[in-house]
Amino acid sequence: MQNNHHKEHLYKILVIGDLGVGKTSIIKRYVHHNFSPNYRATIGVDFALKVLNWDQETVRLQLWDIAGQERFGNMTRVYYREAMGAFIVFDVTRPASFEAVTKWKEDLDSKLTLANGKHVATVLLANKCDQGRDVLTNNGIKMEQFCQENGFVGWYETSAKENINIDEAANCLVKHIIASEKDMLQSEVPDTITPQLEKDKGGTCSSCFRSQ
Amino acid sequence: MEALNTGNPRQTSEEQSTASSHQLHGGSQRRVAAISSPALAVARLTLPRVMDAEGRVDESRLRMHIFKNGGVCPSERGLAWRFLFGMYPCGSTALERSLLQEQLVVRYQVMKRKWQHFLPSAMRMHLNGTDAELLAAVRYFDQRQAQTQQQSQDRSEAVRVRMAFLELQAQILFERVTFDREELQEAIRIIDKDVPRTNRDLSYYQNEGLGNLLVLREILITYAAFHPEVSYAQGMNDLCSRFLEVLDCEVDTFWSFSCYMEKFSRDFRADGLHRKIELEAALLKELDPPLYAHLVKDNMERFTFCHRWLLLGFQREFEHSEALRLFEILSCDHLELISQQVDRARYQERVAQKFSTEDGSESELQAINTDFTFELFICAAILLEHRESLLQCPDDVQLLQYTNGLQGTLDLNSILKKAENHFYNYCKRCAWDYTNGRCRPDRSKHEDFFYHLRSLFVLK
Repeated sequence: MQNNHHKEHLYKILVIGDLGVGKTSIIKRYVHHNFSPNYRATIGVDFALKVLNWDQETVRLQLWDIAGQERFGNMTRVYYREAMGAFIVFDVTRPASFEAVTKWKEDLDSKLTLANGKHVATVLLANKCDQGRDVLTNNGIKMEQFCQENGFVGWYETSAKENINIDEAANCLVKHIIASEKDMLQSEVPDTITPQLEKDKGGTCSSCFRSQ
Repeated sequence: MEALNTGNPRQTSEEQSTASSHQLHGGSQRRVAAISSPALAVARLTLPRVMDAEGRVDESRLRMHIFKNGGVCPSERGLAWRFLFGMYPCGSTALERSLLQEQLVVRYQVMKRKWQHFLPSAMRMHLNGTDAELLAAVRYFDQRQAQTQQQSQDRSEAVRVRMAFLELQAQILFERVTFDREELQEAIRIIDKDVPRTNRDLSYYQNEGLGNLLVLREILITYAAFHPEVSYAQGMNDLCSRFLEVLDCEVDTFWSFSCYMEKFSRDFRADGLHRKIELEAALLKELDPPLYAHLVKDNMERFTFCHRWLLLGFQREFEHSEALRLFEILSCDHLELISQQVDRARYQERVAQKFSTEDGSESELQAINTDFTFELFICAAILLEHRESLLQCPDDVQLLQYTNGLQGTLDLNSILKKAENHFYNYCKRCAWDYTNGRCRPDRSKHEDFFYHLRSLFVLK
């Protein structure tokens, strides 16, 4: 793959978070450039593809839209496999959905590790920012600090409805995925993105990533 | 499905059906569903030889009729479903049903009031302010509430006394029920998220019909409160919406939905659907080993693409009225490996075997797996129809992409026919596998068995 002149990258990206926070809407906005207030709840998993030009290379993103309800968690989590990045979404108007963020992140990290033992790049999306910023302002949460502590590579206030920051957030995620891919290929390079959590599972999981 | 192939003239649009059975005049004058529909308790089914003079229903004839005609005509659907799903016992007379109806109305209202008193804050739906349609929905619903209150004040003294007695009875019945505050709040939170995401594009939810979203909400919360073991899970709104659309009545939808869930609530629990998907895989293994091997590869995980199909009974895979018809056909349990008819055919086969082997041993047609429901055969028929394309999907991504792309492209009549064929062939093969292993085949006896089996089918 390295020797090809025109490189093509294919990345699987998960979109997870509490139910009704706008996961499907974000994907529809990003991929189909539209918005509807009437999307039906996702049952199981849905799927969309986005193609980007990235420094004369082609990047294909598989966006996996995973249903938010806890109860079917064991079924939908099979889709975590081989993902390279993730968005965790919450609804800025609903504090409970923010509280669920750490739970989703822990769940993701416990079930998914890259070949080098690191966690996949994850961007936090504070969606529905057109409707207020209650969660962000009232609780005195310092988002930068929260992201550092919880291992997010970045966060964005987004609105699928008003098309705010969706492309920016995706570009940020792709940038970090590419960085972590390079990092895996040249495993000597020290990690500069996130403080490392020492949970080395590389030995047990490397077989899952044969395709890379 | 002969009637359908020749174009059943009674298969009119949904719009007309609701208009004729509920005295509405099309979508433009759509109203919020009634609380109760007492007139239907004494209404008569026009299906031939299904209802006797007192109003009792011959259940197996009803089911057979639905299956063989590929569904019931939409104008009769509302009444037929009240029997099909068990809200009205088939053995009840019209007179008995009138009394039952009153009891069901009062019970439901007592149940509803109980959670409303427990969580007064949940009486109003959580609104986020940007959904103008939903605000209108609340207004329409409130109007209905006001009208209903007026009507109950206008009741005669005799009716009031009877209602008071029924209410007392219901209160005693539900006195000991307790709710878990946190669990119920969580269920209501999800319901409030999902109800606005029910398929609002349906004509049923147009104009004042929008208020039906709130009716759906009340039903789902009441169900969740009184069934803590299932509570609420995503997808139940879609299912319940089917009942509401067809029955167009709050109380009847609650009870019919509850009856349905008695059988299918397992699918909505954490492990239930997993089991169903495993069964689907096992069935495919019987029907088409190479396709099974391709789909299973290293693990069962690839099969999860039929999660939504099996949870919602293919609701989003077929066009709306077709999906409704399929739901009805599947719900009549006619063509099931556990159905009486199949059982009788197998019993006769067993008796025949006893005579021909003359050893008198208890023989069973063990090869049949009765957990293979007709629904699973429908799913298998879809997969087999798209066999070549599926075999070309190299990984789970493409599989998912391909199967998601099938939404809205499937032809129900052809799928039904194929599913019947697979069902028939499966029964046939199981019997042959058995007879080859156990005794010398006796041609005439076989044909007898297959004749019995064959008579269950509509395809020729």
